Amino acid sequence: MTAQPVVVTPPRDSLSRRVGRRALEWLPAGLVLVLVLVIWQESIAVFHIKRFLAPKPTAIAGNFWTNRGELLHGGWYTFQEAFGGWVIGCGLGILVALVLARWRRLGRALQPYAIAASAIPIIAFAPITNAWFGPFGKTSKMAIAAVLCFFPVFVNTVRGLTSVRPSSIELMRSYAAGEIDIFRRVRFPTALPFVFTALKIATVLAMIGAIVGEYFGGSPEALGVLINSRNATFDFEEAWAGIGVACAFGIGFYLAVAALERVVLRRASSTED
Amino acid sequence: MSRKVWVWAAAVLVVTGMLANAAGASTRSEGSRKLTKITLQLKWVTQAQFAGYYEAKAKGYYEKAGLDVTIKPGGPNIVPEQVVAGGQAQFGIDWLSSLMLSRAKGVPLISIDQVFNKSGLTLISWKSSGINTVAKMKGKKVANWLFGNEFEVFAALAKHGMDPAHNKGVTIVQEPFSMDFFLKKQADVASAMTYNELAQVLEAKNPATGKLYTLKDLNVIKMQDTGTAMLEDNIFTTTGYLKNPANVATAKKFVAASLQGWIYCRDHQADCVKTVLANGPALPKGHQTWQMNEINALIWPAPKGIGIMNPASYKQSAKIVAKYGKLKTVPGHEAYRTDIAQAALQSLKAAGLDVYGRNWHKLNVKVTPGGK
Repeated sequence: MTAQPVVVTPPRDSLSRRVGRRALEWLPAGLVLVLVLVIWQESIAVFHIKRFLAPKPTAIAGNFWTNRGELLHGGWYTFQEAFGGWVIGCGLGILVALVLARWRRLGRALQPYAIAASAIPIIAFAPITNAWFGPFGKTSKMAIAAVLCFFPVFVNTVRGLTSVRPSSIELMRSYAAGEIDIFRRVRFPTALPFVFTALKIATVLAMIGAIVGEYFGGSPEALGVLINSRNATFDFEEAWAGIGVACAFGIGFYLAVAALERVVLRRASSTED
Repeated sequence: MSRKVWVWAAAVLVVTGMLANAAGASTRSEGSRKLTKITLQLKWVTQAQFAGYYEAKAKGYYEKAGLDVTIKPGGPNIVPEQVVAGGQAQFGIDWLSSLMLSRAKGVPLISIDQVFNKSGLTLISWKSSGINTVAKMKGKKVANWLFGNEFEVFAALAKHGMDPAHNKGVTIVQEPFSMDFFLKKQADVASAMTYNELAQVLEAKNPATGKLYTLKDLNVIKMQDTGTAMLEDNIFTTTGYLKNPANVATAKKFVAASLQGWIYCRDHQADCVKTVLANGPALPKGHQTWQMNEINALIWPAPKGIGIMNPASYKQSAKIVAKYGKLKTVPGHEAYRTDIAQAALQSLKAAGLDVYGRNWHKLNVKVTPGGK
């Protein structure tokens, strides 16, 4: 596998042409979305599907608009938990990966357990973190999000750090470069794209982790508690609207990290030259 | 693992699943040749709250009425209304408020028997906190399970100028299904059913004294006394089911046999606790003994006869549900019918049974450490 961070900067077009091309790229996906919504809306009327089984998209949208204050506040509350968990989980993942990549023997001893962490059934784990950190605060949800984020970040960082071409390292050694220099100039830039891929995956996992945690108790302001509670009281329209808000926050988080990735990788590749 | 292996594994799983299903179905049909099969979905896990139904089955009341009743325990993510509306059970037990909410969302359900005539919900706090009235809960952390179980509490708090639905004047937190948080004082006030959570607190040791907590350590505010009580456990079914006269007859038999179970449990608490224990409840004997006694206190005495809806209590419940369940209109009387319960009462009276329990008195049940 070649692991050089190749960032191709295309020749710059005018803004309007770029926007136009982007719109064209997204057109098929947009059409699919519209089609799905229309089929959903119409099939409920055609097949006489009961309101409590599947509400119409228009009803969900209407419900979102009526309860937007409550829903967006809930989304923001849950996002804070997800973000906290993401920072902790990714930070630990990178840290452990750095240690294991540097001290290989220690790495071989610890790696099985780090991988075993990914086998934790997160649903079963949630009530336990509630017991440890208290069910009402944000900490217990951050812990769950952190556990979910840890694994992909850890694995990808280790792979990034260790997939350097041996010839590059030999070259650095021949220049009498120390471990720190090799890390800074070769290992770190090689690992960056791997790390960012994992960071992006972790954004969505963090949001899922926070909501799973909220299913086992939390503030009524939190989105997961709201969705679960609305389901139990047959308010499926608001439950669906809540799911939509959760997705929106997750996607927003993903896009934000993706944007960060573009900036960082562009800078990393330019300093390398 | 190769893809082939996965495909085989999946196939084996599916086949074993089908075989297991088929085996279950065949034994069930063998055991009950001429009985009408019905399923009852409970609101919660197996416990003395449902002793009457378990006893009716154990004593053969259902079988004598020509019924083969399967009792399905509930749990945190089981909504009985959804199970019954989905056709996986003919009858369900849940709080009346939940039925009203589901009806407002177009789920065609109807209550046929209001088993409990009092509310078992209380708000508890530590005596040392000094929070001995609802008014003093202003600015405090109050826990409730939510999911539609919060209406009585919200109405009580609102009476004293707080806005619990928007966390103004009081902080609402979602109560977990264990009272650890209250013992650790992570919230000031907890919601507690007289028959469950209250006992769980009393079954715990006070680390300061090494002895069990007692009622003297607690402030217990009953919703029955705050004027915001709502009706709880009722038997319901779908309106569609009752369109068939044969099913109405089945419902009458089912309700009569169930109520007979409850009458038996009023007069033989210890027997009914044994029956519940035989059905594998999550919490042990001491806890179920306490619960049986408290459950009887929610049913007896029954001034109109067990199971008959009290219209005034219904109205109060409907008003509170409409307000806190965000309903556009207050649920009317079409949410319940009493003819089935009345017919059941007639047959029980004809059999010489006491359906009022005017002389029933609460027993003095001592809590045991850990409910053992």
